[in-house]
Amino acid sequence: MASLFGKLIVLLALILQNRGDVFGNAVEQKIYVKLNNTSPCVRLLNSTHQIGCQSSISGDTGVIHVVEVLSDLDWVLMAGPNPPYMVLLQGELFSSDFWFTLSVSVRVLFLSLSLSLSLSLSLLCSGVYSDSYGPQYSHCNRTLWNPLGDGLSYEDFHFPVFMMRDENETSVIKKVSSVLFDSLAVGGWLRHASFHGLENIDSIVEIGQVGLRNGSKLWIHSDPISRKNSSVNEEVILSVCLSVCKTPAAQQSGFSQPLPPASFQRFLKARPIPGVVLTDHQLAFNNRFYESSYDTADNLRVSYPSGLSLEQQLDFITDTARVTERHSLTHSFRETSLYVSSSSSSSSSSSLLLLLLLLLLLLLCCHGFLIQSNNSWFRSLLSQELQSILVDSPLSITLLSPPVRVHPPGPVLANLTGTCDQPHPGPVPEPDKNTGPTKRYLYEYLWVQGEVSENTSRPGSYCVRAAVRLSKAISPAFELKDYRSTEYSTWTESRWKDIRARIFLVASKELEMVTLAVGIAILVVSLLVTYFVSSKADILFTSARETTTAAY
Amino acid sequence: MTVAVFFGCSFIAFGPAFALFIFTIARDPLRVIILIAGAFFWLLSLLLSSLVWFIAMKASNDKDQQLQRGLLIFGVMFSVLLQEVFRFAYYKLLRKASEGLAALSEDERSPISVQQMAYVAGLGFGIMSGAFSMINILADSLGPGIVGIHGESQYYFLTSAFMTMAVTLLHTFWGVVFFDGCENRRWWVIAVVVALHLLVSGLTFLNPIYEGSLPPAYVILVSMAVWSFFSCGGSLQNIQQFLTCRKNDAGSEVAS
Repeated sequence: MASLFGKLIVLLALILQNRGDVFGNAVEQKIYVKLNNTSPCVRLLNSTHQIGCQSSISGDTGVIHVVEVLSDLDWVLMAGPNPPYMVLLQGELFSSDFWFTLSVSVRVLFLSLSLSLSLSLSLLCSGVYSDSYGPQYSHCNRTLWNPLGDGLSYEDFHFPVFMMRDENETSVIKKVSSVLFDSLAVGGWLRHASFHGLENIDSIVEIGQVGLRNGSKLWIHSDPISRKNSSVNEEVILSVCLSVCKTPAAQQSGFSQPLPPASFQRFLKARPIPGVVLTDHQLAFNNRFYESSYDTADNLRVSYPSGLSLEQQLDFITDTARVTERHSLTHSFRETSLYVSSSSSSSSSSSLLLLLLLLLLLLLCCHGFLIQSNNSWFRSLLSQELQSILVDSPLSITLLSPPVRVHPPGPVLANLTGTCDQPHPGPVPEPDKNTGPTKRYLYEYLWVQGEVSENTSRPGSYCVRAAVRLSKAISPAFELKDYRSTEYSTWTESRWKDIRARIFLVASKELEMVTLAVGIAILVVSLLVTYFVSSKADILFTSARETTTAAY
Repeated sequence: MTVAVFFGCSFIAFGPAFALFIFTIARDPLRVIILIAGAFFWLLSLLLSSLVWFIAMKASNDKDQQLQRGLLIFGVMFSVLLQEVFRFAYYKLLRKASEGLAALSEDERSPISVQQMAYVAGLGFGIMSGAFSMINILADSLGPGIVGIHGESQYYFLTSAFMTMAVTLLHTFWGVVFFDGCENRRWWVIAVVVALHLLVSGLTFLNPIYEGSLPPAYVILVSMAVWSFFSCGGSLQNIQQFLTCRKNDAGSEVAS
């Protein structure tokens, strides 16, 4: 009997538990609207500064106020009777002009609404140019690369900022513009990336932003400071420029112009290496959305004719990928395999090959990364178990945690620049013995699954030898445990377990007080009535009643 | 800030039950036992009826809203019937216990009358029923928000509390009347209690039109209070005496 009761109680607990799961707490769903499609601004710290946003330890709550014109902000700052406010902002108004006044006076949370005309938050004046190296180019004295950027991503805010990605959610917020806003977060840590110099680099050709070319022009930038050294200058002109500059579309930027922001600058910090950077812009960026989450296919004007299937889109050469009318790609990129022998080749064929490389990179950049990474070409490059990283949406280049062993750019570049060593799968060959002990591990070997052709079920896989590497993005400062380093990046990100935002209505003070008053009144009245009735119970209930004191 | 709402709703929902417990039950251990056992019997009935509803729900199509609502109505009605069955079962158990207690006592009389047991059993049912109705809502009332963002009434917590109070007291009065009906073999009384219980539960399906569920529930509450008062041996003269007695006491205090 007892065990039966025990089982019944356990069953009751299970059922009650299940009921909760089934409904997902129905009352809570009546009260809160969760905002699911948001991107929060996080806290980034290095050894000396912090940037980004944060919230209070248990979250922030504020009254929603929709700001559509700048004058609405005055109400928030001065006239609003119930601070703090959660300000819902249009993207156009999102600039640094009013930011500091807002951040000083009240505690606010921002949400960005719609796309703005230009939204680039970074302001790039760092790099190799400093007071000791080319002071005339430091602090953007000579060229402002990103004039539309207002550097907001490098500012420090003491309140949380969210970006709304869903129009439906923003319209809900606008509808209920007298509600409160609540957000919760927990903290953590993450490491950031930086580059590490290599010793045996002959020269560098860096392909920067090449997607938005005006009139199909490509600009070639070089560093004027290092080119003052005659041997470096010679190397740049002879070996690097010879192959690249012959390309019909390429044009050199002025000698006195500094390098644009590029990874090449980091190499120059180590030693003066000859090299160039190829971009689509001569002076300021053509991309209005540099380092912005609005840097998408639509904003870059990448479009395919309607009616093309995904596979047809892969083959289609968009206007962005077309260099000149005469030099468009003549055969399918999937059949081409590029060969680049070394970085110091001066033959004219390497210029065409470099051009092809550029075109292919543009093609894959435009589709696999901007439209959909889960396409047949990417799938053919990765083995079965690694294909889970491909998605039916643009592939974003973000920090991955935990880091993956293979990331699509790697096999793509390997396939484009490497040599096919074997036509069929076999053991990975020995490192190249002919290149000597110092260059023993110059190449990496990658197995490419290949396409699944219609004739056979086995994919035509092969091995690719390429000088392509995937390295972990860890700053040397962390490997050296030099957390105060000024030489290497010490950026960290505060890793939040859960950043949530939700909207709800709050009771008016009157309702709360009335509820409490009524409750207290009922309690007091009940106590009084019960006391009096129970004390006179023998008068009120006269039928045969037993005594109330049963002390047996 | 909504701690105010939490306490306000708790006092509304459980104030009368708490007062009744403090002044009429707490000092007598036997009544406490009967109360808790009564609560447990109600819990058992809820368990079994939930099981039936849960199985029916899982076996049916999740997406069909009409069907799910129909199943819910069926579940509630079945639960009401099962609660009354368990009330009858508890009556039987208490009768047996009463005989046992009478045998144990010195003067062959049970230390507690059937009417007192009826009242305590009813209150036990009511407290447990109220707890299950209200605890979940009270927990959410502690948070910063109130119901209303989807257009529902902002008085949700308040109306839930009042309904809970009504149901708690109704269970108490139904217990008294039910046991009286069983004692005197008046089966129509039982039928009326069951019907009224079904009616009050059914009216809650009219929510959020609270005018449809709360006022009728309170009307039924008042009429049940009157009925159970009279079935306990109360009468209008008693009320008169009760009120005049108080005046007499006041007079005697002044005189002496």
